[in-house]
Amino acid sequence: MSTSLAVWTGALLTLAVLSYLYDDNPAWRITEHLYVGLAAGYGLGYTWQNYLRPVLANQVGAPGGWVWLLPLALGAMLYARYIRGWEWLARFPMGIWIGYGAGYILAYLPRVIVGQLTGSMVDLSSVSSVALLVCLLGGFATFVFTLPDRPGPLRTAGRIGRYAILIALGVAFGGTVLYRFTLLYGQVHFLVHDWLGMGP
Amino acid sequence: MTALQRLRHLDRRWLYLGALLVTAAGALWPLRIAPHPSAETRTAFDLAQALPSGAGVFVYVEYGLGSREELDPMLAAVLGHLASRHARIVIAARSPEASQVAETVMGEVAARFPAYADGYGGSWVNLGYRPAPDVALRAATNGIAAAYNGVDYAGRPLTGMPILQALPVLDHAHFALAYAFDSGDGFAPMIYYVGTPTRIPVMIGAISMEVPVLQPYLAAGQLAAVIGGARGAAEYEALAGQPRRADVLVGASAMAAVYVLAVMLLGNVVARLP
Repeated sequence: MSTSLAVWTGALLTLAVLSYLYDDNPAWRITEHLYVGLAAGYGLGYTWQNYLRPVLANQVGAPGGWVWLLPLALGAMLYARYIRGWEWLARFPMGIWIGYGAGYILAYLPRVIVGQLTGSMVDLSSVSSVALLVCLLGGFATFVFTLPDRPGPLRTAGRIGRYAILIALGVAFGGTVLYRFTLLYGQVHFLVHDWLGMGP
Repeated sequence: MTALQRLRHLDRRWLYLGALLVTAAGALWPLRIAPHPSAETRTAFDLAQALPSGAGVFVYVEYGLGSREELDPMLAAVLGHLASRHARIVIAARSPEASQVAETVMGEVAARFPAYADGYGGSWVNLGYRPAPDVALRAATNGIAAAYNGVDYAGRPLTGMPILQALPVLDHAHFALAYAFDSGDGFAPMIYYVGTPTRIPVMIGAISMEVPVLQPYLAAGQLAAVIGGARGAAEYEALAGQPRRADVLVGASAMAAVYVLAVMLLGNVVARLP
């Protein structure tokens, strides 16, 4: 069994978290509050250390770094929405933010979408390429909601698309379950191996 | 009331206990399963295997502590393989946490290869994280050192590092890899800002949950290869002859999968009893 205080702390907190699966209890509550408090403190330090301090020290303080005060001012203007009579000031940074984001996405997204479109246009020389076409068209048909009475072929295609989507979601859900078990395995391995000193 | 009928009112906490016991059994008595390499993992391996000696490889790490169980063995296996091929490895991260993860994994790999243990700045470098990581990634196609403010993750100057003289811009890389937990933040920027504009082959290593999301990009040729989850990691370890860490995870996952299937089947049978 481990003699490390850090390992013991981790193990006991892990057990306290897992105890919630049995029922709500004081150990779980203490751990929950501890976690929220630590996360808030860590987040504050993390933001200062990794985001604010490097910019202030390396960029604002450098020659010509005064331009970095402009985004600082824009950021501060966002809080104007909490000052009565000055709410309009917050619209400027929001406008710049949204405009920049839209331009940025428009510059890069079309190339990726075109790649996806051309990737969908395959020659029907194999079973998988036929399946791709059928599922693609079926998927589109599933989301045609504008016709009140969908004609028979469209309804059939929509049903095929719905099954294709269900299969895809099933695969994703199976992967999710296995991934969660992998996380559980990591923590159980910590308890068994690092804390109790058991196992190979 | 039969035993099966009584199961209908089974407290779900017994199922949680069962899951815990199955997982503990996997940790106590590891079941090592070395899977047969899939076509996707073999493609990833072949791409790295075909690299010439001294080839530049850009490795982008996105994941944090929550995904280390699946992605650490994968990253270690691929980095170990790249080191055995004498590749020049430039590492960047999408978050400060990912930067630490990359440093730890690469540190373990470098310890196994003398050229990398003593070759920081020549054989590999960790650029770390920069705020606005998408902008840094995009700017790296014009100049890696400038995009990362001229310093590595520990604040050491990049000027004079031989690796960045051999690979001054991202476009010169032979191969780009990303290790991602999350589809939106992780691999999408690599497709948007690296793979599509530069045509550098991009390979993604992702947790098993994200593999279906990657398939359309793989089918469209926007990704060169995908390694998926613990299984993909175990396959890569076997192919590249790297230390086996992931096959234990595959064994534990298989035991968990059998347990989940058994519970699902039993639940459906019990639910349909009169």
